[in-house]
Amino acid sequence: MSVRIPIGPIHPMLKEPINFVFYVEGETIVDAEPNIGFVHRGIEKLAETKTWFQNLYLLEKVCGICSSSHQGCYAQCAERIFEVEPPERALYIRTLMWELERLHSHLLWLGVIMHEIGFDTLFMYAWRDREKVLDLVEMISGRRVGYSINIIGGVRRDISYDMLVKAVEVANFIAERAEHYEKIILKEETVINRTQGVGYLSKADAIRLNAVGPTVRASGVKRDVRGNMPYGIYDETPFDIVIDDGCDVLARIIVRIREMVVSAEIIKWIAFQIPKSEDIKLKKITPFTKPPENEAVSRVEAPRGELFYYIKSNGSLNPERVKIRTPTLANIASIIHMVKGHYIADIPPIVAGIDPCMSCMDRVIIVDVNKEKKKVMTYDEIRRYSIKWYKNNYKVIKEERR
Amino acid sequence: MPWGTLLREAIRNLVNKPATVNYPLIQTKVPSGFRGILSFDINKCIGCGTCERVCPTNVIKMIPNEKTRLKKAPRFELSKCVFCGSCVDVCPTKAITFTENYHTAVIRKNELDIIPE
Repeated sequence: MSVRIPIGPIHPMLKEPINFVFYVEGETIVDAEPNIGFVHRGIEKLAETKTWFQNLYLLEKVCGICSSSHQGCYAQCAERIFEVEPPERALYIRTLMWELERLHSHLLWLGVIMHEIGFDTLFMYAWRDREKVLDLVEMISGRRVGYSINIIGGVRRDISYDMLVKAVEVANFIAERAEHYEKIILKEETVINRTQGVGYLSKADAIRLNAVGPTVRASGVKRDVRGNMPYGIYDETPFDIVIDDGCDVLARIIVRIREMVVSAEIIKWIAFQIPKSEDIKLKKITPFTKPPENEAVSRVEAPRGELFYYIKSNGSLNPERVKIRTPTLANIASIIHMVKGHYIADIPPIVAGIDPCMSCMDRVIIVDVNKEKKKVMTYDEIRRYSIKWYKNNYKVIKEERR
Repeated sequence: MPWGTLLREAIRNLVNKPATVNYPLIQTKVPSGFRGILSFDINKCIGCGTCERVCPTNVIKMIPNEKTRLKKAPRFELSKCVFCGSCVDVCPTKAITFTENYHTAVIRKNELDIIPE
């Protein structure tokens, strides 16, 4: 079976469509096929028609949740093309936004995965806590989701003392809550039964399938761009790469929760270490500055994994080529590997486990190999089906997993 | 799960105020520096057209106007605006500013437009 990789900025992430075909024998999945490419928006081509500064606000819209990662990655790449170095204070503010983004993205994902397995109480709690981060982000940048804080050669807004105090408060609060959630999840039987041993991805497979982000770190591989190939101020920042040897969905939950604690630590470190200076952006780069003929790549650890940008410039006001590789695309291959041998009811936690699009499985086609029957289920149906199925087969599964 | 891990929080939530806001009835306060709907002051505008060149979504179009020095003034189609603030940043006379108004829901598409007179 050949894998067809589509060309273009396809983002099978939250609320964007992707189609899977699962081949099952009875309840067990024997094979799966992803069909991606339903939301080709032509962003890469559009970016070629816009100027360097206009692209900042276009590429921010590639993903709503990791907007700052995309914008920051593009700005970092463009700075390499312009051959300039942003002021240090700007890098600190940029990193602060990246880490705040990681906090709210992981909290959002925690809510989503808990919703998938039917633990809606924790979903509500996680999303309530997320509001604190969004309020802080709104205070710093002026908007809850599209922060637009990065520009080529620095950041647009300075951060005040009050904001830093608030950031430390929020970081302490989230770290405390993350530890609370970890305690709940490791003790709660519902979560353990639905996630332990589900979606197994061994260390060798994770490396072979080029998984990225928390998915690969939950398989015990130390793969994190922040640590492996530091950018911005990450080479000075003291932090640990969180890994777990569980290799299953439970490990992915634990890795993300512990990453929230690490992010909170980084935010506190930035709040105390941020250099006092006035300049936050380079004055020589304006929206009408033309770069030299050049090409550059840039890598950023977005909340979902490694984000990659390649940009080529021909010396004009518009880039000649922009290539984006998003983390979800890198993780799709591991989903196919992970679902094999598991039950239909395990599909939602496995697919949600890589932090993809919620409507990813908008229309799932289930083909029974023995009966050669096709059945189309919507995502909501399969979610309800899986919760019901686990209710009925709870004891059998518990025995089996032992 | 032992009793008390989540139960304590559940009981606390019975007493606490709700986290959500009854939106159309209660207006939430936005922080200072919020990027809301744009406002435009024709008396400050010189008609240079820099805002038109930087706008990423073609919201701004320069149309003839007698009031400004260069006999041109921007017209804003705010239904297209993404509130990035590029025009606010580059405006040499600070004629374009952000307001704290975030109510962008309108019945007709052109209701929000700013047309200089």
